[in-house]
Amino acid sequence: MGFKSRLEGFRSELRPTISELKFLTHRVKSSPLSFAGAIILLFFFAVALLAPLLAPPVPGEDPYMCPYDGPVYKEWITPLPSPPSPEHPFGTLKGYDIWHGCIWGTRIALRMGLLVTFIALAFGLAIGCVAGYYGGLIDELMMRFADIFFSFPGLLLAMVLVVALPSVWPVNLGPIAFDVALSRLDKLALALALVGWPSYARLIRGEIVKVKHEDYVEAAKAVGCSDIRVMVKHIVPNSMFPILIMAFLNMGGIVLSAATLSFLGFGPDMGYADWATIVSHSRDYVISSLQDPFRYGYTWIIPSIFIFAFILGWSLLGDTLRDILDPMIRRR
Amino acid sequence: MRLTNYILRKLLSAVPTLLGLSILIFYTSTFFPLRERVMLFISPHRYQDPWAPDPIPALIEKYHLNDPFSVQYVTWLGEVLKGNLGFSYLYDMPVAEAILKFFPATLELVIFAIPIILLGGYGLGVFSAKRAHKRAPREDAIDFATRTITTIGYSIPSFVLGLLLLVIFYVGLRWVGIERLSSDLQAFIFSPSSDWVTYTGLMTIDGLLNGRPDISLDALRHLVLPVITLATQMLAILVRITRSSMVGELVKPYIVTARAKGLDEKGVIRHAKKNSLASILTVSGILFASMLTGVVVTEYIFLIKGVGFLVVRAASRYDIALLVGLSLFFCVIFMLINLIVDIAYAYIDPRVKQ
Repeated sequence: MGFKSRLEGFRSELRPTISELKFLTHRVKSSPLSFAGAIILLFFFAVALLAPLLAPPVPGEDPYMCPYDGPVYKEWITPLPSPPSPEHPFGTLKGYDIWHGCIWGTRIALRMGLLVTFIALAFGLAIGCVAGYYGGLIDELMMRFADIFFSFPGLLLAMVLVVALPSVWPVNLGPIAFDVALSRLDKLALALALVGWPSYARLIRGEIVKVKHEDYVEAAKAVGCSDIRVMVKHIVPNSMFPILIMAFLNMGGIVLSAATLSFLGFGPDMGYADWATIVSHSRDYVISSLQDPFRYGYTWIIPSIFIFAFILGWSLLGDTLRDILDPMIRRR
Repeated sequence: MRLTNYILRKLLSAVPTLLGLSILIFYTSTFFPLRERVMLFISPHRYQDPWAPDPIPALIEKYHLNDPFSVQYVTWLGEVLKGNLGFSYLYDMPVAEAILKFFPATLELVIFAIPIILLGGYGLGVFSAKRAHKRAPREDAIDFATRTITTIGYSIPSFVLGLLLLVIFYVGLRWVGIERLSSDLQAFIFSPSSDWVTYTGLMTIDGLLNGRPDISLDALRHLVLPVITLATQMLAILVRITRSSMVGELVKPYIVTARAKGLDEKGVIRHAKKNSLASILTVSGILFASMLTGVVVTEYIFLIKGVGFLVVRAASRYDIALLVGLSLFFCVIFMLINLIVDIAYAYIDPRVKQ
């Protein structure tokens, strides 16, 4: 088969996807709010990509640790915040460079959002698919289990889990035994994912119940596809993409939850490049600077703007895309 | 009565969920060291006598903490049902007592925030939808502004908003303070010689009942910033939900029919409003969950000694008994709210009762 005809075949196979993408980008461009959201997010992606150039890490050190510039005995003396200077464009807090924290914090936020979404989606897909596809008692049991998570305020459960989950998980696979050590950030991600999967499971289950008697599913079963193949190759690509995209649009919400928990003191320690951790630690200086309220403003306003803009970008884009992806109101 | 039946059915279906939740909560406590878990039942310090042998092994034995999980759980559940939630080492009092002591502050905050959220959010949402509908295919300026502002409103993390308000109005302008009362009034209330009587625990009401309207006023002033912090995000979410459900209702066939029959705009809106309420109620669970998050953050920032403040303290200081007790408490509150929502749902949409 010639290259050209193969390309043509490939193209015709992709045509619906491409036209869908064109439709999406057209709608995003024609709505100023979602366009602004897309621009904000592109900015953050660029910052995350260029982080090593914008804030070069100290060689040999963890790049996510902000450079420390203060007294050597940092256990005993905590230096006052220092205002922005050429060396530290956003100033320092407790001796740590805020600029570095804000730049590398972008990577942390994206990583957190992606990690939580992936874990939660994996759980949600597995449980939602099995429950919806097989139905009956399995369905009932699994959905009751998911209901338990629904009737508990998510952030609180995440808080309890962050505190309760052990940092070291022994893994024992017969001959190979090792320990998996989780950082506080990993624990935060795990906790948020454990809280987040039931809503995906419920959505996915609903979708599966809707399509499982469609002709194409029956046809796939009739030619002898295994259950897993039917789910993975036929049902998921045909009906799940809106849900998957919506799940990724929820990244703003996940980062907001993570930031809130970080602010409450359940995030990484000071010095780690996490926006909300910086805001949380700046609180010590904010309340005590009575004469001049914005004296230490740079310590919390700048990281706060990063958090706010990041979440705003996702909500602006998400609101429009949700309307577009909702088949009930899409082409109105 | 069909409604009574419906409520009973809902209550019954809440029981397995509550049991499941309690298993989950108790299971998280098993990650903690054995010696600390004794606190889930009793304070070992109460028996502390320097010459006596270590009381903890005996207590571990007594409460089956070394036994399989199922035995532990049943023992614990039995104690919980008896009203014993364990002992908080942080506050040196039984957990149930600590929760009851801290709950009024939260209640006061929520009582003032909820009307603002409900009336403001619903009203603004309906208004925005009406504007959007009137100028149908084209964008309406006010509707666009509302949408932009609400998007900003729910994207701004409540801790950022709280800090901003705190810096401007407390640190900068010195208009209001943090905590629930000014320090001199607090000193008066907590001094042993004062004749202050705590009736409800809500400072605004207790002030009036004690004949001290100045205390009520002071408490009210201290509530302004926390209420704004708490309400902003929820208000924005509610405006969005109301708007989209109203816009969705206003294009439905029954509205077209009503218009064709010559119903005036007011009547049309009334029809749409009633139907939009149902879809708002379906997402109210999410709303209340985010309210709880807001309460935790608000109380943490403004140092309001409520249950939200308590849960952060308990979690960060590893007070397991308090954390487990509070989790249970929040679950029960959450289920009660959901039950009320379900009843309201059945009231609005009679089809639900079947």
